[in-house]
Amino acid sequence: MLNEERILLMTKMASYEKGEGKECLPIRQYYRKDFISYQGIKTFFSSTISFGILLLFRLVYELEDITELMSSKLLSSIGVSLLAEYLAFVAVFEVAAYIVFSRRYAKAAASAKEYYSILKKVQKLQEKEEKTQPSEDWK
Amino acid sequence: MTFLLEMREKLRNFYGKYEIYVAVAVKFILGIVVFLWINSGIGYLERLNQLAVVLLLALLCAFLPIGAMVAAACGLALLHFSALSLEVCAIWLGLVLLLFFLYWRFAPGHGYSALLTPLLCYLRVPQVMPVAMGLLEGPSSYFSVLSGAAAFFYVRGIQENIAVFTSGEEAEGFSRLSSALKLLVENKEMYLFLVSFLATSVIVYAIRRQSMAYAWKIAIFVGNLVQMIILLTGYILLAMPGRILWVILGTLLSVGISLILEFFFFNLDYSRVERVQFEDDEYYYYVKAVPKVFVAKKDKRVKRITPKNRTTVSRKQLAEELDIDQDLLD
Repeated sequence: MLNEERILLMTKMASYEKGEGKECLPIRQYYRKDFISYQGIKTFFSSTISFGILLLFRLVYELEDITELMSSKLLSSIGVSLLAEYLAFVAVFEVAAYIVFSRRYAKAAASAKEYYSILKKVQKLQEKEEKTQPSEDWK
Repeated sequence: MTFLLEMREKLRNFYGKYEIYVAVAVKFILGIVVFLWINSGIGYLERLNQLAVVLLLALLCAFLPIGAMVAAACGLALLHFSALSLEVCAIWLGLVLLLFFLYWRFAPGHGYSALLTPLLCYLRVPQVMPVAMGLLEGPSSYFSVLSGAAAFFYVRGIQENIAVFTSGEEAEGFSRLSSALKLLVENKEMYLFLVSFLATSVIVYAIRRQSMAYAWKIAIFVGNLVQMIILLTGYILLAMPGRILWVILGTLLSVGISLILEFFFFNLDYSRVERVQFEDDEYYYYVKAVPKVFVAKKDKRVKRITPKNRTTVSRKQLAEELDIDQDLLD
């Protein structure tokens, strides 16, 4: 026997899984701290690669100045300033990642809350149906 | 107005009913336009500069997420640049990777705006993009417009300075690389566009989120005005008066399209504003509710109340049948 209420709820769930849930449900599989740390690590690598590309661009753009600079300044002082720039660059992106991904987690958690409450309802309805169904001996 | 509202409902219903096909068709057409534009503008690799390639790529991208089309467009441009000069190709690759790592990682999606911006830049009327994004999306999406604009200015720079990269005598290796990079870094017009786009999007977004009446209309007009002022001032300072006419035309077009977007996405009836107040244990609420302008689709039902084979009865016959005087029927 079809249970209309359960079908309605399951349709809602399927629609959510296909739409908004596609993005939100995988996020909810992580704990908040784990999700933000994981994204932080990814951001570290992506910002390092980006800094490398920007550094290459700068080398190409300022090659003549750099040769002058290298003759006038100590290599170690250039290295220190580059390191400082790199750390600042990565720090900016890590902060941005923390803000962006903690907000995204909060949004996903709020969005998935309703999904999980419907899931519970469906489970209860299913249990109820199983109880009310006549056992095999009676058939 | 009622006709327009009915049309809107019909369009919405049509989209709702055939969403899958409409999305595929839109992506296919966009793909054809984008890939044709790339091939016609920078089609340096002859093997890829064919209609069959364009159609095949567009067809493939029509069934994939929009991000795939962005990647395909970047890849196609990369292959064409590789045929022109490896230096140009290297800078393009660097630019795409930078945009990918710095922006797309944080805010994936918005592929449509990233593709439409360079196309509209090519048509010289990109002003609608920042306004539309400010109206429809949040701040994270604005960088997709900026990415598209940066990509366009690099491609245009290469097109305008093609001689530098084709002549093998004067410019060699490193100096070509430096020239290609300078097209990006020293392009003042690009900075002007980036600043005006970002400012416009932020202004439009800030105003349209206010709870005041006609917030979207005010946002559209203020945003477009600010954008026009920035662009006009910029072009005057850059001594490029030839572009001024296009700025005005682009702004007018932007106002028109923005008003159409408002009609479709935010059509409110401010004459029927309701204000209610209530409280719970912790707060007192002042609620302002503005109803949407909505017209239900006309449900035409023809109900026949006369028999199909209509017979005519004369007054005299009717009077005789009812057994009354004929004058009473006047």
